[in-house]
Amino acid sequence: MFLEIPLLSFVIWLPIIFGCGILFLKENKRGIYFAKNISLIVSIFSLCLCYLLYTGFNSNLWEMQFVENEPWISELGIFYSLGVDGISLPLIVLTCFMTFVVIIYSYKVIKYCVIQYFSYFLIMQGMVCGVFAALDAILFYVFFEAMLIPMFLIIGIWGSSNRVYATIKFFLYTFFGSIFFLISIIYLHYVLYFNNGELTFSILKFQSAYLSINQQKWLFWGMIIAFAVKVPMWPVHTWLPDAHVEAPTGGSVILAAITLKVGGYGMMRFILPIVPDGCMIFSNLIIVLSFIAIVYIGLVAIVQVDMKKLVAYSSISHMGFVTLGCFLLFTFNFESKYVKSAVMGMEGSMIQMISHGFISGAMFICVGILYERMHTKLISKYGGVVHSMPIFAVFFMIFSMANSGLPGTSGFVGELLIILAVFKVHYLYALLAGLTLILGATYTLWMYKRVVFGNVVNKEIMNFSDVGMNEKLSLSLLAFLVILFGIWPAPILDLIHSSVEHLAYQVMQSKVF
Amino acid sequence: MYTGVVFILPEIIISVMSCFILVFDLFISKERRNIIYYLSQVTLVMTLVSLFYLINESRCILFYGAFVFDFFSVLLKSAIILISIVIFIYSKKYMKYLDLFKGEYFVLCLLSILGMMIMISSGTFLSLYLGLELLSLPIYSLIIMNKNYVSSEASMKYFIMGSIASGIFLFGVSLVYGMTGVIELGVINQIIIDEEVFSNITLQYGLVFIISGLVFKFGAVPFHMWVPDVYEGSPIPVTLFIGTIPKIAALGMAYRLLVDTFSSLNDELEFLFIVVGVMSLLIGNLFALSQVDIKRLLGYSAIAHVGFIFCGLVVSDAHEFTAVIFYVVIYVISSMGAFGVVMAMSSKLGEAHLISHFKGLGVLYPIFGIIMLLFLFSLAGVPPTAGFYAKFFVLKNLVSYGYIELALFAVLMSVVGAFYYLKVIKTMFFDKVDGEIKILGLSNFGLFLLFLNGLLILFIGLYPSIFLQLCHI
Repeated sequence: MFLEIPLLSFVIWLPIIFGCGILFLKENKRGIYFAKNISLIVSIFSLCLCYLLYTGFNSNLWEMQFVENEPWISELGIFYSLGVDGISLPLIVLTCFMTFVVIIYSYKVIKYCVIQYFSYFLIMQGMVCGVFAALDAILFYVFFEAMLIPMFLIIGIWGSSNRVYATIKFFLYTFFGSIFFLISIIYLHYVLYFNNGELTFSILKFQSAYLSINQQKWLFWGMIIAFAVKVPMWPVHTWLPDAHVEAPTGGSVILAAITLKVGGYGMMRFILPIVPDGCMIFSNLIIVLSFIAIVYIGLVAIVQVDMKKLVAYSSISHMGFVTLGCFLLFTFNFESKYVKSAVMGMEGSMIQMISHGFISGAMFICVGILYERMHTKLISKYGGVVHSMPIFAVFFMIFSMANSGLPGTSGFVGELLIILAVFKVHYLYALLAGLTLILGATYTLWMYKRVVFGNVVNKEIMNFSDVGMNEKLSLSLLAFLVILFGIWPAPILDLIHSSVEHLAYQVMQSKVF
Repeated sequence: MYTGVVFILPEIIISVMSCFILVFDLFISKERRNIIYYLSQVTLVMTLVSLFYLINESRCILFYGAFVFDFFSVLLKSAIILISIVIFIYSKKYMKYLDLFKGEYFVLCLLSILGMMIMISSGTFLSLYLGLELLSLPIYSLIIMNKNYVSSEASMKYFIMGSIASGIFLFGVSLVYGMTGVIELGVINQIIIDEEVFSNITLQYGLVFIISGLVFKFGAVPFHMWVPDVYEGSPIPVTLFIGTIPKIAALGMAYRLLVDTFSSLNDELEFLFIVVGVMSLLIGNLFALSQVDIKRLLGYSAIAHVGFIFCGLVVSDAHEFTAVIFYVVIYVISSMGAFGVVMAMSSKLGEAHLISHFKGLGVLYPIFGIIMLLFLFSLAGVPPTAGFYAKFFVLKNLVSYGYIELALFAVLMSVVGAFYYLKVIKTMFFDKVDGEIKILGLSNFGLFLLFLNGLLILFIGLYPSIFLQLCHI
């Protein structure tokens, strides 16, 4: 019924246009009022559009749906082509939902340059949706790079003291990674032109291109750098703690909940299907790096004294699971009896991405709530918060449990699926992966204990007011979803299953001719 | 002969009008100098109209080979005229404020534009050289309009270096003339193709010297020393002029040399251009990192961009020139806007030439701030601005001709380049400033044009197809 309306274009361009539009409002009381409410309405409206997408989506098909295809730069065969499958749809919904949460949360918090703040978040939302919906590599790249600009400004304008260093580091790191990706897609375009005489940048055609082993090796490295920086994987993760610590709360939420997912999504959309043999060659390396992220970064998180840094490191550790789940299927040597495990690992990655979106966003909001009251993020300055903020303590408890992977929360489902799949490879691997449950519990719950329980160390803490209306609303929305998907993950699993299965079969076919 | 005159009508209009304005200026009091401004704008508009009138004519060679008329030249000339109109509008308020609003500025600019037009459609080495000198001489005196120490140093440096470069260029021309016996570009090409050249080694010697002249005009390494000094030393309206349209003229010169004259010497040219391109990218980007003066920074960034242009020229022949034209025009439009904002942001206390003068202005004046943001991101090559496609098309050509290492190097250097543009953005948006700062601003029409300029960058960034077709020759 809704196929006639270009629904995806609406989801992408509506927030961008309104975001640019409210930039022209005057920075006075009236303008700020309008800007806030317009952005709230736009984000609610995009959520409605997402609902239409969800109901109109046929989850039994792995093919792209809601496809739009218009010539864009016809000289080079570049199309404005959009579409969603089971992998991208949940991420689009996640993006719209998290922006909605951030807008609710920031409704009263932001005092400086309010209009620009809301405008950048709306623009960011549209661009990230564009990244997930793009079916043309150049379109993908344009959104992929363009979303750096609002994030760069968000960290730089509203960040804390060391923001300039952090934001420039963030920008340059990601820019550096993505240029190799650009060269890779140009090269793929050239190879396709050379082989078939067809000018195209279509991702789906890239996925069915035949490439020699040597080409695949190089393309693998070209593309993995871009997405490894985004995810971030272990040796290139150093921008993330800086960016998170300096970013305003809303920025951290979007950064952790959404932009990190772009890395995982890029792996599933580009690296795995386009260069499966290259992945096969280097899969052990990626798996080892994932384990380093899971175990070593988990250990690093334990010793952090800054709450935000702790949550940031825990993000890296959790994203290690995503890369692990993605590259796990190469260790099965393409044997058919392990197909189920391979699919399970990838599904685990998807669920881990979505649940990490909710949980890390919620954790950052919790830290932000504390920061607003005390203006410090150091754990040692807190203690006994439960005495003055009992409701907050409950919410914080739920999210801390979820962050450490407690059964019954969404954090558990993804990790369980991946660990089950890892078991098929080697029990030692499973042991390492299982360590995360202990490490996660250690760093999160220990932080929780030091911040929330114990004696009141500081007089200011007694004067804390408990969570306000906006904060309560955003936290309860997130808590509801975390628990819902923890108990009943079937909606997500149904949505992603056929697409992930198709992806797994696609990856298992060698592309060397 | 009548038809011949029609084809050089634009040049005739400009030369007659510039002489007229020069004399007319003597009889005008200082208060009524606006007339000069409007007269020069009318001149440019008339030239543009006459160019549009000629746009459908096919290629022809006039005046015994001295003058080539083709679509390429009309395209480049129109770009030059259009951009000069915008430059004059941007500069007006600032020049009045700095007491530079004199007739000479317009006359000299018009003469320089005339030189560029002659150079773009030159058919012999003689007219090429004539255009080159007519382009440069007014610029030497434009730089010194400020009459202060820095300007005179810059002007002197540029003049001496420019003269040496012209000498080198002439020496190369004389070698080529000695080996072939003609000065018509097309005939030289034919002789080289037919292998009737007296000595190939000497011809290559000549080629190297001639390309040196081109490299100097572009301001690429190793003849780049003048760029930062001249950019810094001249008043911003002049920097705006020097930093933008001579690049288009130099592109015309490159086209005449590469496609019309030496199209069969691809291997030698490739090697030269790779060396020049790589060194310019390296030196331009690395030296720009430590600059504190915005004009010097844009100067070094110009060197870096020229490096990219030369990388594009490596794979350019008559059919692949589109990407380079696109790059040059986008670069010129972006840097024109950036200089426009720099002028508008000069405070009433003095010229804003240090980057630190822009502290907090992006937040205080969001319109200028966001427009400048667009220009800087366009220069850095970040989508969704036009600069990305400029880089993308060049890279695409490089990769499809097998120069993947060169493409990788170029994009790596553009990451280095992104840093110093980010530094300017950082100063404008992230550094907080206390109290109000009054800025000079632009006239209403100028502001409108600046806004359009920014929108154009964004529009090309979102929909480059139309513009790409326009640059297709």
